[in-house]
Amino acid sequence: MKKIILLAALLFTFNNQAKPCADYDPDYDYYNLFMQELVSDPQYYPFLMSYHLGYYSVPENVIKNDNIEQWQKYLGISYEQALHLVFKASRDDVRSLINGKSVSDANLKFITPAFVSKHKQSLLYLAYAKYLEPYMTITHIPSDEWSYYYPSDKTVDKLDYNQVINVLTKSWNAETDKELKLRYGYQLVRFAHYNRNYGDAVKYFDTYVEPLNYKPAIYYYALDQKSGALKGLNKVVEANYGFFQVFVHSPELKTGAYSSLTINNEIDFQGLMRMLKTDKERNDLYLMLGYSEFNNPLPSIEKIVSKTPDAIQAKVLMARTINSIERTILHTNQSCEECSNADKRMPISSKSENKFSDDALKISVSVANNLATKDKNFWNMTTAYLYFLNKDFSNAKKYLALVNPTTKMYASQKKQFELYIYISEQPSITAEVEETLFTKYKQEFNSLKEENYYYNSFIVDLLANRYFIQKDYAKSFLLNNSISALEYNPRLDLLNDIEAFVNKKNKNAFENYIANNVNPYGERDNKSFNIMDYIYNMKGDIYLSDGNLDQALKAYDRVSPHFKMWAKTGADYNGFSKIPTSIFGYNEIECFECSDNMTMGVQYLSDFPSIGTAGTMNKPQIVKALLSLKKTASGKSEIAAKANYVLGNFYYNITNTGYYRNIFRFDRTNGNGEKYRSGSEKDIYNGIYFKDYYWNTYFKNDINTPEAYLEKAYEFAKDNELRAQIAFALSKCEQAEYYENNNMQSYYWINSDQIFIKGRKYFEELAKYESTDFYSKVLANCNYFEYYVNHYK
Amino acid sequence: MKIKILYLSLLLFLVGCSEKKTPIDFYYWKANVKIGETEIKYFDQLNSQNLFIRVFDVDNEGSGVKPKSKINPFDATLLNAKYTPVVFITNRTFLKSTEKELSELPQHVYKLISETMTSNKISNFDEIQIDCDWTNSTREAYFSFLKELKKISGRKIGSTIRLHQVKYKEKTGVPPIDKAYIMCYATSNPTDKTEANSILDISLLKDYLQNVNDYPVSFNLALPIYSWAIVTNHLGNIKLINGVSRKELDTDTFEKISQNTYKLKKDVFFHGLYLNRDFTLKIEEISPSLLKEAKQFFNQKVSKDYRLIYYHLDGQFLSLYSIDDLK
Repeated sequence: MKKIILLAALLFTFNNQAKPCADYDPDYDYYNLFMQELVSDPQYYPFLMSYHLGYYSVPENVIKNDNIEQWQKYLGISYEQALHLVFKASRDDVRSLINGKSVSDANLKFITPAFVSKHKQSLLYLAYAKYLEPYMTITHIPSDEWSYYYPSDKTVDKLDYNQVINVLTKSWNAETDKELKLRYGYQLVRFAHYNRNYGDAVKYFDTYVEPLNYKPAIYYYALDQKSGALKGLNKVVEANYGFFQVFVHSPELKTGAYSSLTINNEIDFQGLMRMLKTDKERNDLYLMLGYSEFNNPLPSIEKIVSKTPDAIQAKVLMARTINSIERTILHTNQSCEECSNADKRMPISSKSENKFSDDALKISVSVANNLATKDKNFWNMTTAYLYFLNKDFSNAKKYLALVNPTTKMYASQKKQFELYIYISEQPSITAEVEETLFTKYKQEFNSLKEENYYYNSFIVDLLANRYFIQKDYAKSFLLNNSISALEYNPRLDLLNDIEAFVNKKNKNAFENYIANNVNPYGERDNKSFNIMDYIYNMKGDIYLSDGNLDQALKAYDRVSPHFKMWAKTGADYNGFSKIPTSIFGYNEIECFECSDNMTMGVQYLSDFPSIGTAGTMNKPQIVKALLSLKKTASGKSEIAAKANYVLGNFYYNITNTGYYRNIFRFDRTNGNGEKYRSGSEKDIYNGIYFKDYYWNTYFKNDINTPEAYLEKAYEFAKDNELRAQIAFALSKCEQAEYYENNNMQSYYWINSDQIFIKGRKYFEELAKYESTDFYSKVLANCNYFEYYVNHYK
Repeated sequence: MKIKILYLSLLLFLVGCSEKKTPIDFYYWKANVKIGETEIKYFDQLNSQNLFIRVFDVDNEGSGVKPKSKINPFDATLLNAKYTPVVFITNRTFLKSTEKELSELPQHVYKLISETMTSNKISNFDEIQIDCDWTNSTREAYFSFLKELKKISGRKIGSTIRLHQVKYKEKTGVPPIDKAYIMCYATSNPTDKTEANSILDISLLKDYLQNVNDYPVSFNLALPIYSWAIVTNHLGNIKLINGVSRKELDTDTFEKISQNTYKLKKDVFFHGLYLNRDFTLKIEEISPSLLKEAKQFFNQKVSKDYRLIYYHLDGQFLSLYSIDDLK
């Protein structure tokens, strides 16, 4: 059962803000290099910057529950024992213990008969509090269920109000111990507040809580309830003051009190300010003003540090400031739209971002240099980091050197910043720099894969960025990608760079570290994997797709005949061999998921011995067959026409819409995907690195080549069956061109209105061969042709 | 005889010239319903009959289809209105949900509408309106949702229609509904940093509704009566403040830096929000004359009967207009 706090339900003004609609976590799309926890006071951790959650998430047990601590102290037991007794033990067990019976709950063993006799009144209080607790909810509309009713049999209105109040006041009067009196007082205020008897709640606080003149943690729990009641009575300034006291004094209720405060006009603000007595209180109020992620925190920081440069509130706001600067500058995937003519060296920021970052730096420097500041560690760290983000590395080093690594967190942060600055300030990444990275900072690189991914990949990106700028493209590419990324946009220039890098003699330790990244996914740890086979297979594919058959053959000849791109064995295409000879055939039906036997028609192949009779071929055999076919195709005879037809089929089959489109595009199957959608070629050297290279999928969709062969075939073919087949093949090229020209990106799932029918030249041609068997076959298998015949013939 | 003819022709003249009175209704879009004197006054004096009241949203943030921002209990007797429940559904509901979730959605939506209406003592409603800015990729799922909802509820089904869905109806499709509600507002994105009014761009409206008479479903037209300031902070992030009028910005606290944009000279509280120096505010409002122009265009353009629905019934916006402005 969900429990809600009355304050939130009744009094919290819902702020209807627009949320970003995408399903992403804003806390993960930037590099969080600065540890906000350096502010060092866990009480304020929830107020560090987080865009994703209401409050910054604090690991369990970092902030101890102050109510439990109060019980711990009062009963003289451990924190864990108090936690179990108060929050987890059942009411029945507590009552059994009071009555001298044993219970099975092993965690209550510490409650001995002596304990019971000493603390009987406390146990009686706890038993009654446990009775009330399940009812401390109110009727409300369940927030995300398909119902308008709250299905609960235990809401506060189910208890007899007067009876409970009577028990509590009697208990308060009978109790002599101040501690327990205060707790009964708290129960009275809360119960009246939950019952929306706001006047009673305030009265009970003033009668049963305040006069005790005793203010441990539970006092602020009671004050929190009273403040809620005051808000219910529309006494905003008094309510705010109460909540504010709770915020200042209760670590446990800090966030709740902050949410309940409503300071939304000058009068409320000034009213509250006048009631505050200490600098700490005023600083907390300035913190609240600068806390909203929409607000500029710098004016609040200035106000706080002018009197109290060591105040925690200024540190919290500066940590938030730095975090929001990181979010605007340190994107995990940085495009470079604004910096094409500017400095491409990370960290990159724009003008407007610089203004805020400059203002923050000015304040940070002034606090770090202020003689009144006692704890300068935090401010030296922030100053060093802000200088780093502004690319002023010498000042960054200067302030970083002043940081005294007093804690593990400070030591680790200092070391990380040292490394970022060291890499960033190098004019280029030379062999000496690489050596330093692998001697002085080896530890950082060793832990790259296991530890903090974001911090580590910032180093990776920073180095990739520098290698990119100095045109060490292979190193840059391999830092950010495995070679498999090229399977989405194969590039000869990058392959040549990578080949040269892999073959480089006497690589230093750091280069070896990068080169270890070269194997494709799935083959990372396969020491016997021959990367040259992979590279030359890819080169062969690029040459073949470019029509350069001689170079393709040379490349394929360097690949082991046993090379496989995928571990899977059997009759299927393995990336290099076992390509069905039906790649020279034609689609009888259009179906990518169907087997080739069902889809592909094969004719005239036996006329060409180079294709062979084995049923499958490897890539060099394919190229040899293509070379031989080209020779035959250069004539004008019927056999030349057939050779042109077979060539046309082959080249059509490897286009975006061909059944064998996967063969030269590094895919095991022909299922639809990015690789088969037309796009434009991107300038891969335009960015700041090659990060996420596989997002830039690009393959040239060459329809002209098959069309040219088929047109020539059609010109010389005499046999009507053959001519009908060629006309049909040409009509498929027409449709492919139609897709291409109309930007139909995802035409695997086409609507019939996206089919080019009326005016399709080669439907008209095919229609002339009504007497052929092929014509009847097409009419039976192709609805669009049938439609054409019925409507336009 | 002469007099008689004169009378007759005068009568004809009067009939020929009289403007057709378009009935006025309202949307209501807040989760915490506050119907005060202003709302009641405008609703009554404009002889409004219908209140199209948003009862909840539907979304899928990744953890399943769920209702969001349900309307809190309200007193439906404050207005003498016929209530029609409106449900806003996000596109990602249709994109992200499983087939099972989508097949259960009409049932869930209808159940929650019924519970909401019954619980707020609205005994009968004969129509349900769905607000969804469907796209090519969600059209199919949205349209089948509408069909199923009609089957399950036995009520008439209405849907909001964006302007581009009117102009490009062949491409976007026409939903299977009984009534279309053409939204003549939110013509562009307020986050676009231009001088144009993102709430209503009249030239765009005229362009998109050129062939509105051809829309194959009977329709009503919805016009905006809201205004806001678009605040841009020190990081270039924006926030909208509802109900801001220009005269609030023409003060010493702000410096006017362009036709519609103002810059803050100091840190201030403004409409309940704390804002810092140097933040900018761009005002976007629907002036009575802009409203008039839109209504005149409808008068000339639309050949069928329609109702005009204002978005929305909220005192802070209503008070910027006279009753006559809204007639």
